[in-house]
Amino acid sequence: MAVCIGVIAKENYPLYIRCAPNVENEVNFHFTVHTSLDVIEEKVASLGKSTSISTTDLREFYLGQLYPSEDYRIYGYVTNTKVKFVIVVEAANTQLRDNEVRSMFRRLHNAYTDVICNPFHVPGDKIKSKSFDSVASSMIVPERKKENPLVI
Amino acid sequence: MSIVDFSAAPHHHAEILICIQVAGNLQAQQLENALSKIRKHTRLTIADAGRVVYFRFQVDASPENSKWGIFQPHRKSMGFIMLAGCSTAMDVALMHQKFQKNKEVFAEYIFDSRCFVFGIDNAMLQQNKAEVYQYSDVEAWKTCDRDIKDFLTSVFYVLESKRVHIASDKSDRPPLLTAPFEANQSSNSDSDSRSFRKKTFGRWKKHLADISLLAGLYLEALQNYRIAIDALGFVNDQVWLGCALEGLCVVSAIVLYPQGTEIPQISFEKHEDVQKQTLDPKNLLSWNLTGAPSTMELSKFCVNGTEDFIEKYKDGVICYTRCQDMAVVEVEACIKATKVLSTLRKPLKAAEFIQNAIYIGLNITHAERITKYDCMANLYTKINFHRKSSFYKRIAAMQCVAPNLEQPDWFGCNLLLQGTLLGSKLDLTNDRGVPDDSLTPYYGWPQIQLRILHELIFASRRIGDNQMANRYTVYLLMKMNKHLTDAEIKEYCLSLETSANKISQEKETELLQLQDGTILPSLHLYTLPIVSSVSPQRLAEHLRPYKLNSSKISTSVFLFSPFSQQTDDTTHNIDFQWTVNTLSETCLKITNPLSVHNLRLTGLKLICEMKSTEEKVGKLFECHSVAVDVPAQASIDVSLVVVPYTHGCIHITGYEFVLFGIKSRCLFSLMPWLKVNEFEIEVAPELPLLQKTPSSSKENLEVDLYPGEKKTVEVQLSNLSDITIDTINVTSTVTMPTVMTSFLSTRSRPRLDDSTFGFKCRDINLPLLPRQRDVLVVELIAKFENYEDSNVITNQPDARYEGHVKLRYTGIEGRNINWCREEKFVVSASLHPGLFVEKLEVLPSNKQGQCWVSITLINFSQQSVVISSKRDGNIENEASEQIVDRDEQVQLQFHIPALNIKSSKASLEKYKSWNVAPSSECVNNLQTQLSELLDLKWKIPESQRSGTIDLSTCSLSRDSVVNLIKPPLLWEVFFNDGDVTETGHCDVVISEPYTLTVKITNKSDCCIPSLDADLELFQDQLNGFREWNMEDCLLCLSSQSQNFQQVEPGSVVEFECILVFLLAGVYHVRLHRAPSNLCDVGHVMRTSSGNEQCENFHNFSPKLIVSARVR
Repeated sequence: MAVCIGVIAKENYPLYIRCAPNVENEVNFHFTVHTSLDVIEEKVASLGKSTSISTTDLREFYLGQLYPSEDYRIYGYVTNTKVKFVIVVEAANTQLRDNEVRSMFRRLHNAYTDVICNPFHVPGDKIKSKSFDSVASSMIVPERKKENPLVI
Repeated sequence: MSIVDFSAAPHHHAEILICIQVAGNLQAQQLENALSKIRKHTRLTIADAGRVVYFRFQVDASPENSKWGIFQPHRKSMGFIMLAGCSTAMDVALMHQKFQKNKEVFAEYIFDSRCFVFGIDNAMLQQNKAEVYQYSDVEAWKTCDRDIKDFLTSVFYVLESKRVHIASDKSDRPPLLTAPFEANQSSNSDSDSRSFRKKTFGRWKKHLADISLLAGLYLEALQNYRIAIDALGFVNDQVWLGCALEGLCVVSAIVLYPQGTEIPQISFEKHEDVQKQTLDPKNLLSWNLTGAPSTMELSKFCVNGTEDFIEKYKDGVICYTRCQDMAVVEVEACIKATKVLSTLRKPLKAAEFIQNAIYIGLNITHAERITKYDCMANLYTKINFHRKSSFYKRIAAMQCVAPNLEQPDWFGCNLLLQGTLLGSKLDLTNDRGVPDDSLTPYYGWPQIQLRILHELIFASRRIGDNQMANRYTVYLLMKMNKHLTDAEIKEYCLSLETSANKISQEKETELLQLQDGTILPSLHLYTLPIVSSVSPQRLAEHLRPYKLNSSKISTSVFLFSPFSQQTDDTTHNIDFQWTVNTLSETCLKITNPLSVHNLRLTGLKLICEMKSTEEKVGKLFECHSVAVDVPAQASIDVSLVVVPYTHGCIHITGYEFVLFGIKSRCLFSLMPWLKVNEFEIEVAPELPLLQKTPSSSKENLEVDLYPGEKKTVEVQLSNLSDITIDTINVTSTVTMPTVMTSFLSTRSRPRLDDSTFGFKCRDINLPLLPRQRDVLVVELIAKFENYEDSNVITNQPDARYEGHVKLRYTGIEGRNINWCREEKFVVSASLHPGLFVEKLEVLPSNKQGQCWVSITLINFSQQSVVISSKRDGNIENEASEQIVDRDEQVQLQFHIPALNIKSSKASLEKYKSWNVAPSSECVNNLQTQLSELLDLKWKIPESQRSGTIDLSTCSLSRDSVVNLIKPPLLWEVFFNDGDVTETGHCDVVISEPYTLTVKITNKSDCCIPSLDADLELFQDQLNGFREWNMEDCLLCLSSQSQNFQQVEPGSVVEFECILVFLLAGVYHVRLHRAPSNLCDVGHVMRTSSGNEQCENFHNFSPKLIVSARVR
């Protein structure tokens, strides 16, 4: 389960950022996602270089883990139109496998495609779709309920 | 080792460290000079040994680090220099003591030491001690180069001897080399085991490699590292293996990627200076007589390409990670690796190393932590990870002012925060932008940018740099107002306004400089407020200049050319002109993008350039400034005034204003949404100003008229300017409201201006001097209309017409270059229904050269009208005066002489041709003649109005036109010398000869080339039958037909024959013109089709009815 999901436009401005409901400092996730762009750009550039022209169609969208940090793991995904998805996972969450992250990205990509297919959506605008929001929030860690103190 | 060298670089491995200490009262400048003198000697060529060695000088190098000399010899200070400032001999002695004492700290590491004492140059005080040098001044230290070189050479030789010693040491059981933290562990290991010996061997080889590297022997270093790696890898001696791997990687980097190691001097082909020197063959240290090994040789032992380099370096770092005490070495290794990889353009790999370095737990002080983050940020910058860099700069900045600090370092915080601008894409130098448009998204990360700008503003205010804080605030308002809350906007605007008030009292705002040296150009507020449209305005109508001769000279011979479209669109040429000394306006639409705060702009005015055509000193134009308040989220239109002082071309290139104390000059060329770079407007020379007085247009300029009436209107004109008017050109046109068209005949509609109304303006006395007046007299004549349409509505209200009078006037200067001004006014006239000509007909008369004119008039006016005509001998009519009551009609009949066609030769030629009807010009001419001849006048006695009845605009049928024209041939008929032209009748006696003479006069203006006359004789039996066979009835004693050639205008030809009537009866005698040559004569115009032609002709033939009787 992710703690933060970000969608970033081709021009590297945020289209959608959603954090887990219990995080205290949301701007920190903004920084995390923002700084991951450096790695994404570099990875995309090196992908473009390494893959030959014939294999451009088969290009892998999934960029894998972008960089480790003490508390989080950050995964990246780039669509054909250079829209980037970033998923931040807590480092403590070791159960999550690479395949699961991939499938999360795929679901996000599908949801994003649905948003773009909406004729009233202006490409480049912030994503305000409820269905996208529900897809994203389904991947986010639900709020941890505070345990009630025992009543004696 | 606790102190991390965040400036660690791979080439440090190849440099001998020299520690410099400063003591005494040496001035900063002197110290700087001395240090720079010493630091020149980083590269030393040892000619004897054929080596090039490198030195690194570090002020106050930690002796702690030197403890690691066994592990990594480049960390050890091998030389010690003390720079001391002294003023007294006592000081010198103290310094010497200090030198000895400090040297002691390094004693076990250093090979040689020096003390340079500055400030005393007394030979007497010269303490004759080794290693101590005294100079009066740093500048006086002439032997500096030699002193340092000697010192360095001495250090080198000690090192070299150690190297030779280790290399040649064949002792069976060398002691185990240990890193400081291993000192305790080594004792309890088995010193006899094979692995221990292998370990010892490996470590010694590694140590030898390190020293060889320092001594400039790269090949040996590489070889020994290789051996060490093999040996240490075998015994799994992690720490030393890591160090050997790092060593190998570093040497490889120096050899293979010299560009990445920041010491371009280490280049192996360029050791020419070494090779050139004759080497002493006896010198044992002379390592290679043929010179240094080539890069080729070296690269054999280097790592195998970049991938291998990364792999090996990574392995090395992994080895370090296994030992907690190696944290510092690990961090430094990571930094060094990053530096190499950044030049190899492997940013992802480099990022991994940095990432690793960040998470290495170091036991460091707060200040060091800040340095660490700053260092990491700088490393990220090196690999173009600007976002990461900015992130760590910000962390470092936040550390500077961490809440637990007693003395937060706001200066440092501010400096570090400024470093985040690039990574967060905040370009303070950019003052442009595009107007707020929902279609163009904000290209940036607003949450992060806002946070950083807020922090920057706060930090700047804390350190008292209000100008910078204002700059950030303006940037926020200008570029990011969409993302600010209303309260924030309000707060920022107020803070800017208060500081603007302070600044205005102080000096001019100076250029701002970021702490990294970037000078911020002065800010121009292009998008706060936004000017969304600019349109220069035409002058008011009466001030506008016009070309005197409006004949347009086209620059191209083509009506349309695609090439003319290719002119520079960015210069917006304007099709109107301004005038010298006239206030000219330009309208700006100004929008305030802020949601709450009113923007108060002061000194808002245009920026213009003027290219004058004449040499003129002083001001060419003046821009008037205004102050405006632009309400929040509103647009206002502001008119900015410019007054040109000379004629030529004025270019409007931008506008300027002051807001929040910031003076902005905004150029249209930098505002892409305007699509115009500048406006170019022609400025006409100063022109006089003429105005109708009083200027209210309604005054006295209304008249009412009946058709045929004439009235005059006086208009007072005054010259309001200081220029003499010497040319006035008056033109007038008449328009009619469309509603009224049905009142008039359809025919007259297209000819309104000349047929319905006549305008005549009498000239004004020129020149009209300044401040003088004159009167313009306008004459209005309502022309007469033919009343043709049966369905006209007679009870229509009065028709109103407007006569537009246009005065084009100018002074001498304007006339010389063809400029003038226009003054227009309207004279409105209402036309009452009056007399109308219902029918105008011309009927033939039985007299030659005469005709009947019949005019039917209807009186549509509300009063009775008296009609009078001219009394003249030529005209016959019933009465000279006739009264027509309202809605009645009257028919007037006049018997008048037929009229000549007065027209040019050319039009005469025209109407001679068969099919062409008489031209309208001819008809008009005839109608005018008719009007003048009849001179009909009307009078309304009740209202004392009178006028003329003008027939020239009435329509005439073709028959009428024919009847009106005087026939070209005039004839006289004589019968036996008796003139019978008038009567056309005579009596004769049978069997007697009678002479018939017809005199034909050519009255036309042209020569008749051939005239055939044919005599016709017949009897009309009055039953529709004519008896043409006259053989038994009469005799004709001469030819019945005759031909006349070339009948000149005015000449007379005679047709003569003798007739003898044989039987009594009534005979018709007619002279007939052969139809064959009709086309040659003027009569042609009377006919257009076959039958009619003959009839017309016969009507006009000379004829005679002869009654013959028996005697």
